[in-house]
Amino acid sequence: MIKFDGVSYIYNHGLACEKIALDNINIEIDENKIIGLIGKSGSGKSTFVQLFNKLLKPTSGKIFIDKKRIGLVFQYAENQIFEITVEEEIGFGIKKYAPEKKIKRILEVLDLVGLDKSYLKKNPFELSGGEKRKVAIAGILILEPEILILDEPTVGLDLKSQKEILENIKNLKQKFNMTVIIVSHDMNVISEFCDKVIFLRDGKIIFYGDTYKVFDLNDFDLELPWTKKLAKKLVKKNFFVPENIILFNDLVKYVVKKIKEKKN
Amino acid sequence: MNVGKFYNVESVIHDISVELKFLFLVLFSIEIFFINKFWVYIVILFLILILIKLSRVPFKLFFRNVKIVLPMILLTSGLNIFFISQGNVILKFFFIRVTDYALNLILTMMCRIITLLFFSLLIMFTTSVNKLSRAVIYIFMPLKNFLPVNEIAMILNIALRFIPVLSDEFDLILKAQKSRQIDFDDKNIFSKVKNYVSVLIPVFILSFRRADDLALAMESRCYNPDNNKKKVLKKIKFERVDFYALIFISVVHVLIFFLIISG
Repeated sequence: MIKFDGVSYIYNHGLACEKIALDNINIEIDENKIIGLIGKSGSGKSTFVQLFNKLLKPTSGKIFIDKKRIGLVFQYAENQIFEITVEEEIGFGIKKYAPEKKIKRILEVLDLVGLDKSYLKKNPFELSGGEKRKVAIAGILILEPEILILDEPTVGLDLKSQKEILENIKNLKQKFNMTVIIVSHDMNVISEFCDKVIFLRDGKIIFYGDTYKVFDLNDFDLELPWTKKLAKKLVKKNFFVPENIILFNDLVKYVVKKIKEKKN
Repeated sequence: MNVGKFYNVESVIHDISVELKFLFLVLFSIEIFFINKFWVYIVILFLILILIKLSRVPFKLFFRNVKIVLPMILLTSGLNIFFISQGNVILKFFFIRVTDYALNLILTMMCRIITLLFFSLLIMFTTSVNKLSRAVIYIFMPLKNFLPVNEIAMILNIALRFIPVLSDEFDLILKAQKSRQIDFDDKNIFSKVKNYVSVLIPVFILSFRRADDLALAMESRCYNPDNNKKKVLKKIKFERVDFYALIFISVVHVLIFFLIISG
């Protein structure tokens, strides 16, 4: 169970500069799914995810989570790297393990993030941005989280690294059946990888439901994924496209099918 | 820690000219080392508390900062107690001898640090960084032939401006490492220190990277501190509030001066 009951969070509570980051959040989040968390800058996304593993305590309200291990990967996760080898960096969270067990786990998570064992003795500071991010994510995965939260996991990375990281996360979810929460401003990422979406605005939840439904909200004020933009343009040209089509491949299949039907 | 964070509210103390505040801070910092009586500090602290009330900055912000420094003050004071043997012994416990002279000295030193801390925080919370660096330029301008005034002001400006940024970064990395199950509340002091290395190294790296980026950004915008032709200094207006502040400052300084002389 992941449930927020009347949760509010106020920064600098009681001071003149206090700011309400979250305002009376009531939500029960589906487990074992990839959940997207969207909203404009300052809408309370980062505050929301920090409440999951008690890094922040709510100003009011209660949080019920029956999972013990919650991994949170922050924005620019590579900034938290401090050890001199990839092996030590990833293994820091399990330093009390026996050496054989430790190295086995490190190799497992390295594989999960798409890196091989040749990285073990490398200096993490000398890796590329995408590789550093993968090492940082591996440092969280080694703790075997039951809920994995990623705050903008692909920000600042090239398209290839973005794709690799997101595919790895998708595989992880399928392999371990964990709940994954992805915070992102990129609606293409959200539409492609998330089963459900939480839409925050000014600290309030505007919407929680299936991903495809959020893009049809009347007051959706974020950039649409480009597949959805294309679908909307087709609808304007009197070419009906079902609202649940948000992936490029699905759209192509649907359009080809319709054209074939028309020809016949 | 809130050092370097401007608390943006309207108040009489916020309105006082920053040059006057800075002057008061400099004079006060010098004078305070000549005060040796404990009760004088109580009077000064009381005056500062009135100023804090007038500034509309919550007391808890000040106490939060003092609380952070307090263990260090208590530790140094505690060490001093054992090493000063001058004066009459008022407490004897095995080899520990506490004298009246040591006690007076320690209490005075503690009051001195706390008073200075309170006063510096008051100036910080009520003055924006830009105004503070402008004040430095004005005050040191007569020395521009001997001192690189603009550079000093620029360094001060950057240093103060980046304290909150680095503090936020420290906080963020601390949270990130906590998410990796790194225990910062470990009772073993050695593992606690070792665990903090996981925060300090990334913060240092980020600070150097930030400094490098800033230097490049300044150079790309043709920053030249010695190019005074382009600098237009704003004319300072002496407002009514500054006049009252000046009277207050003068009275306080005369009072402190007499207290020092009489002591």
